[in-house]
Amino acid sequence: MTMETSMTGPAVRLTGVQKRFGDQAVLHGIDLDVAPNEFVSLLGPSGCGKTTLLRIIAGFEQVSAGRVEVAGVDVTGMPPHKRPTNLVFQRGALFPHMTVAENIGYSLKLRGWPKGRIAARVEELLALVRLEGLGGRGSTQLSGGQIQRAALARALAPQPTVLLLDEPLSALDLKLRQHMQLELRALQRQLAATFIYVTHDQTEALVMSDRIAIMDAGRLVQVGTPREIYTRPASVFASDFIGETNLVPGTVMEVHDGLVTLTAGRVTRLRGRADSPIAVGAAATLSVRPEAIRLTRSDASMDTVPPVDGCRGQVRQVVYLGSRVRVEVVTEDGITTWTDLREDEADGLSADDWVSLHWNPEAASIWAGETIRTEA
Amino acid sequence: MVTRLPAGSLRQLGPATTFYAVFFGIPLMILFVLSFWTQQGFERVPDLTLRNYLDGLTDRLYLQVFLRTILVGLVTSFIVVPLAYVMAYLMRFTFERRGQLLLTLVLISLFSGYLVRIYAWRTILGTGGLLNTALMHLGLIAEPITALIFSPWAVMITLIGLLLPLALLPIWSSMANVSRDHLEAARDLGANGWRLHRTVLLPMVLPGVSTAFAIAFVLAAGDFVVPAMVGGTSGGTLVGNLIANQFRGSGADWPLGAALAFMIMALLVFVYLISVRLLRSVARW
Repeated sequence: MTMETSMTGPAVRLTGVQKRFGDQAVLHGIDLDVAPNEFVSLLGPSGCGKTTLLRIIAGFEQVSAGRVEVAGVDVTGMPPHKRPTNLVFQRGALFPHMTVAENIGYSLKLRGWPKGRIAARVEELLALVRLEGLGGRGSTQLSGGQIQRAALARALAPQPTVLLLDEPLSALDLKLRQHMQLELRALQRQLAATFIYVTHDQTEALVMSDRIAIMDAGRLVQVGTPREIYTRPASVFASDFIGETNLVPGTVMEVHDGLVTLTAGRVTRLRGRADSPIAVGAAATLSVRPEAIRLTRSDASMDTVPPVDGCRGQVRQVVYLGSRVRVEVVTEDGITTWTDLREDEADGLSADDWVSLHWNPEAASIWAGETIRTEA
Repeated sequence: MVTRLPAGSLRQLGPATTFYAVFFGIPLMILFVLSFWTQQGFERVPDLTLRNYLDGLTDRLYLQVFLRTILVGLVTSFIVVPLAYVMAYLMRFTFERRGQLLLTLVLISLFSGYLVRIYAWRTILGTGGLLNTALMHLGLIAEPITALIFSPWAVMITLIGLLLPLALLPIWSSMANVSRDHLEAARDLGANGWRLHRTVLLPMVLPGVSTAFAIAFVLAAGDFVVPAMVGGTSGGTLVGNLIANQFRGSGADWPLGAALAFMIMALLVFVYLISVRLLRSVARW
């Protein structure tokens, strides 16, 4: 079973999409193309406008300005029941007066399919989402994971051009969620379908997406593959929201070929790459991932020169995380940093040990501006 | 479906059961026995005759009133229930917060007495009433419309006004359990307008709608105060009035009244069951 993939243009094209509720602007001009067969996640903190954007594509909200195209057709003013999109709701929204099979076959019955064909298609979908034999169940007799599988099958039944998913796994417990993430991913590949997935969970977005569109306060902050976004975040917000990072504020001391040297505090000199122009003397923020930092033991004598690409400090605590060990180091200038090490690398390390921290400048990002710590 | 009651529940239901047995069951049985007696002058003589029932079934006047009662009950509830459904829908899904306010207003209207509300309708519908005066001031009519009051129409309009809040409550409370997601899911999957209601919302609130229909139909068909006060003598009489007349005044005939009461009860239950079946067949997806 494969979906129609003969489109040449984007499956979804958003052009200058704006949304206001009263005098409050929720989306400030979103431009985004989603390619056929692509899995794109809209990722952002709650209130960033990601769900509103999804509902605009589904047709439940009207744009204040801009255009929505699905498979090359302008659907901007089209009501939801006429759009070639289907939505999987956060809590499934299965119809309680129908069995699972009736839920899945609902859209086909509305389209006037003959009974036999509906039954065959429903069986096919039940197998696809691994609910074989549960078609006769009432929707109240299902577990959380089964509800979302049934909801997925129901939305896939009419073979939508684009499947929209609004945090469908957020109500499930961690173990099941992780399992379902991989399953959804495999399913999307198998169907060669276009999925747009809304989530506030960065791990989920990293695991499943071909591309991630990070949103903040009604704007697209960065659109790229999980790798691009993780290794080269376009802003402090993106670096902080995706994965974990150390953010250090400082002042630009030197710029050379995109490599920037920051001063932070009295003695700390830090280096990293800036992808956008940055002026000497300006305030800037450096982001470096905990796993990008290497740690070496050093002696306590203060007269040695501090390392060029890093800083020196004292271990405050060593936290065991199972697969790795996280070390909190407070630098000479009082900056708190976190470093991830393998267990053997951290062997014998304990509180109050003197260490130096360094990293490849290419693995650290620097942006102009003060650090604004956002709560995910 | 057989439902096993949890242990001790009968004891808990005891007071309610006792109350019903004493104040509803026993009088009903007395009335049933009475319906086979005969009235001779001012005396009620124990007997075992079906004459009262036969009288009810053969008298043209009684049959006419039976028919009118069922008709008024059906027409009233077929107007009240859809109206209540639309109102409940708007309150739940369109007005949202303000819907709660509307519900409070509806509840407040129930606090004012039954008779007070009937009188209110009299002042609205009467020849010198609010509606006629307004229409005359607007120049739409030259003479007051006399048919507005003391007619079967007046009975129906008043009953609709009285029963709407009562029908609204069960439907609204059923709709409170329907989430907006359910409606959006139906739209998303291709349903809209009438199909959305027939296949999703109506089946989901069917218990509330059936209750509303039962309340509206039984109260409309069983009412005898409204016909007496706004129905006039020209054909506004319902079975309730007929039965009430058998229990008072000089021409009282309790056994006949009892027989009429049981006949209309059976008829109402029958019509109700058919209507609910009809409703269920409409609310199929």
